[in-house]
Parts: sequence; structure tokens; C-alpha cells
Amino acid sequence: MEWYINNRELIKNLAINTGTTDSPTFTNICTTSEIGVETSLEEKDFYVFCDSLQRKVITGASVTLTGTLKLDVNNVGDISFLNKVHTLIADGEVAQFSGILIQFDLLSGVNNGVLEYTKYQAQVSLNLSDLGGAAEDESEFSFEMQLIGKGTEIASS
Amino acid sequence: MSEQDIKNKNLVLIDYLRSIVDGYKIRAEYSTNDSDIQVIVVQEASGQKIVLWDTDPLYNYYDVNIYGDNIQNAKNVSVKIGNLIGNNIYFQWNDQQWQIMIKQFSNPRTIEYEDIRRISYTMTLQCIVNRIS
Repeated sequence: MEWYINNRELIKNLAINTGTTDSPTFTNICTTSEIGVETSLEEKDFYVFCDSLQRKVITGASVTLTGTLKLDVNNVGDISFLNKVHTLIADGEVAQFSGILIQFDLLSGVNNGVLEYTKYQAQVSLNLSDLGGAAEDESEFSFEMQLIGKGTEIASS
Repeated sequence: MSEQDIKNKNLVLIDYLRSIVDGYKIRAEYSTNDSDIQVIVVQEASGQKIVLWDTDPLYNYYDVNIYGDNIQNAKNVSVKIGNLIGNNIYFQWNDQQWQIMIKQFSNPRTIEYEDIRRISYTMTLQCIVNRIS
């Protein structure tokens, strides 16, 4: 028998650090529908002597979380995205987009009828686009969080 | 999923709706007899299915028609059912566990009186009704 999940059950509780680096506080951000996980592989092509069929070797990968954020002005996590844009405009700084600590739960399996998750913390660099959104009622924007290095497993639940 | 499970899909959805909606009879067919005033009818409707390897075709479409004698009550029930969109509901049905994933639906809208005493709302739910264990 099959057990299907929906897009909100693959990654849950995506949260951003709204505290300090030394004592992080994670606030869940208000995402619409799904959050995607993308692996982008870096590959090298090569050929061997005597034939012309292509081979590939994977030399690296980047992992990116993508999603759409629905701006909730009561949510300090959401507002922290805007604050980074303010800093960019007012001070011309970009450091605030790098090394952001996030936390999320990634589905790891099922046990006795209960979905199990592994909680990770990771540093990411953040890209925003379409701030504002196209439609009158949207106030949404899409984000890309590219993991910097390895994440840390916090707990399984 | 066995032949019997496929037949049970409609019943599972009906039993789930019974567990969340009070005051209405919920059944697969509508009759015009006078005791059938507050009734919700859940019937399979046509819609595009998705076929995956080695599984039954995904998605069932159900027309949900809400009949009553009070337009506000019928509207409230339609909103309650409509708000199930996006949920993956785990539902214990007898000794079986089922999931009901409601993906999208056509918004509730009034339909013409079935007869002089009834007011009705209708909507179409796109669901995955699937037996887990």
C-alpha cells in the first residue's frame, strides 16, 4: 500500500534566526504552499581513449531551499527579511544575506504510522526576488536559501 | 489497493465528513422525500487522473452538494468543507487507516432549488483518498 505526503509534510517548520549568533532564536516563517529542496550537481565531462561516449564525474553539489514567503507583518521572521533589504539600501551592505542560520525539519521516514523528521540547522546565503509580487493581493516574494557547507543534525522526532 | 478499497473510497470520505459536520445527513444519493432536508450528497465526478507506475490512478473528484432550508447554514458548511484544502487528513476507518488529501476544489456556489423547500450549495473536491494500512 502507498502512503502519500503533501508538500507541507516534506519540509516543516522552516525557521530563521531572529536572535543573535550566540543565542539564536528561531522563528517560523510564513511560507505559502511548498518548500522545495534542490540539489545542483557540478559535473565534469570526460572521454576515454578509443570511444566517444561521454562520461561524467560529479565533483560537488549545492543544496538550495526554495519557497515563497507570504509577508505577515506580525511575524518577526518575515520582517527580518525586509530588514536585510533595508540594510542593503541604506548602507550598501551585503553581509546580512550570508551566513544566516536557519532550522528546518526534513522528512526521514515513517515509524508505526507516524511520520518522522530530522531537524537540521544550517547556514545559508539568501536570495530574494519579486519582492511585492505581481498581483494586488499578493505581498509575496520568493526566496532561495543556499546552504553554506554542511548542516548540523539537531534532533530526530 | 484492492477492488473493495477502491469501492470504499466514497464511503471513507462520507464518514470523514460525518465526523466534522453536525446536523446534516451525509450520503451518496439524494432523495426528494420530505425527511431529507438537511442533506449533504457526496458523489464521484469526472476529472483528470494521474497515473503512476504500479499504483492506482491518483485523484478522485467528488461533487459535494449541500441541501438545506437555510442558506446561511448551507453556506457555513460549504466554507467549512472548502477550508479542508491543502490538508492531508489521516482518518481511522474501522480497523483501517486512510488518508484524505484534498488538493483543490471549485469554490462553493449556490445552485437552484431542487424543489421549493431546499436551498443548496455545490462544490467539487479534488482528493487523494488512499488506504495506508
